Amino acid sequence: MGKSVLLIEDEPNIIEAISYILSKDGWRVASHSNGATALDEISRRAPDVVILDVMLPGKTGFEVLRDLRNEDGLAHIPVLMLTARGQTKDRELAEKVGATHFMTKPFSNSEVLDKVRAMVGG
Amino acid sequence: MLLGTRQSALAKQIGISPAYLNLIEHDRRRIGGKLLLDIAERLEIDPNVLREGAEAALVSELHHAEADASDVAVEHERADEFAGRFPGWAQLVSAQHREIGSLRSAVETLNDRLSHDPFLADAIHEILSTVTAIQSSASILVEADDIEKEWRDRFQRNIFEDSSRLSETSQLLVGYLDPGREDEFAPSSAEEELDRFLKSRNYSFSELDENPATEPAAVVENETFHTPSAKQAAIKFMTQYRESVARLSESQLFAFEAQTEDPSEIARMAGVPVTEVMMRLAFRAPGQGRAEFGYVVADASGALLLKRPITGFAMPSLGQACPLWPLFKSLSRPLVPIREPVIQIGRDSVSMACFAIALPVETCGYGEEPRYHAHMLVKAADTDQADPQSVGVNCRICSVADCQARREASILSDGF
Repeated sequence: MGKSVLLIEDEPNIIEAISYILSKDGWRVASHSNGATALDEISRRAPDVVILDVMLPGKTGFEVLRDLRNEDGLAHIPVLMLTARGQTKDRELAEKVGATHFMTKPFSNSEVLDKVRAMVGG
Repeated sequence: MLLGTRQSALAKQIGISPAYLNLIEHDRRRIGGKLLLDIAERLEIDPNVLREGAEAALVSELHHAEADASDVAVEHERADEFAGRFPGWAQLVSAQHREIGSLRSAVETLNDRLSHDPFLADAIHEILSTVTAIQSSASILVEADDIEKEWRDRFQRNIFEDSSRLSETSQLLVGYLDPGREDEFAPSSAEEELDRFLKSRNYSFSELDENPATEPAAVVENETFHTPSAKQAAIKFMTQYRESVARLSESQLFAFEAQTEDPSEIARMAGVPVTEVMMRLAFRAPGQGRAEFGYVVADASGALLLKRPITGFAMPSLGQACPLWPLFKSLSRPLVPIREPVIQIGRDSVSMACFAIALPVETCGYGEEPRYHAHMLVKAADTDQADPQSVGVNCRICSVADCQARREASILSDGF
């Protein structure tokens, strides 16, 4: 497949596990841990899919996503939002700012794979 | 206090402690038999008057309990009979109603705490993140058969690390939620506690009237406060009172009062703010020729910050008051003194005179919005007043059917 994923998450062991799963499935995985510089990183790498955590140092995932959707050339990138709070309010907010999919922690590995695959139409 | 008798003197004469007499006076202790007769004899009044006073307070408590349980159909018009025939049961209903009130506000406090507490939010986020990492790593180990040894070791180490972190966070959380912890978790709100304190003092501070050098902290020393902010509020209030007594003594105030009943006029003569005169009249020790005043202070949201009810003008113990009170009228006409006759609809309706004024709380700087507090002094009208405005206590226990200001249904379908 050879498609690329950028994982924006500040929990190193989650990064490691998700990276392993996706690499096994044939994805090229890069990761980034800071909200404030996340948009630059997305712009630099231009990944096929972004996995974005809500609670990030520097800037929240919602803010990063809002900026992304207003950025010419990046607005179309599918984003899978991760949150530790499964509240309806968070989900609504994620949909409003333009998340493609939404996933609540804790999630299963197969769920991550299914959603990421679905987002690139394969 | 009845007939101006000093509480401590009376207690001594009948051979009980002043504290116990205080509890009796505020209907916190049942009184009967010989003690009631003794007190009546000392005060030279009919024992039935004492009994009835206690019973009226009890009936009013019953009506409040009724108001808060709108889905139960009680025999509203037979509350007197119930209190008279089953005083013990009626006391129980009243005590439980008070208890429910404090529990309710404790639950609200806890609820607020749960949804807004930054420590809890962080701890939960931490736990969910760690659990996610453990679950992902563990399922890799279980599901992948062809995993290299190097990766296997790494995920095992990650799981080990994450599980230690998880147990640490859980312990912190348990420690945080430990019910034995002493802090602001309170059985009731600070406002309610301040109300209760003022009521238990019979709304007077004779030690401050007599000697403004008395330390407010010493006055509350033996009082039990569950919320630190209630104690602070009590001390702050007494400090204001004490400073005012130092500017204008009780006897000076009484001398001015003999010339006019208008608090603005007294304030002008005494050279103190009108709100200070209001506070002093409402909270002075009862005495010969000294009329009793009710007093209430509200902020711009209508929240009642300070309450000193009197016979003929009741105030809601929880929640909002009747919007027709002149108190609220003053907020739409700040700085303008309002004098208005009112009559509070109820069982013992008497005509009352109200003086209200809304004043800025602090001096404003350029570009700042003034913050107003409304103040209202209430006293029984000396003479029949023309056209008093009918007001209530709050909507729930108000019987006026066609009131434009009603914002909540009344529990009284057929009126008093």
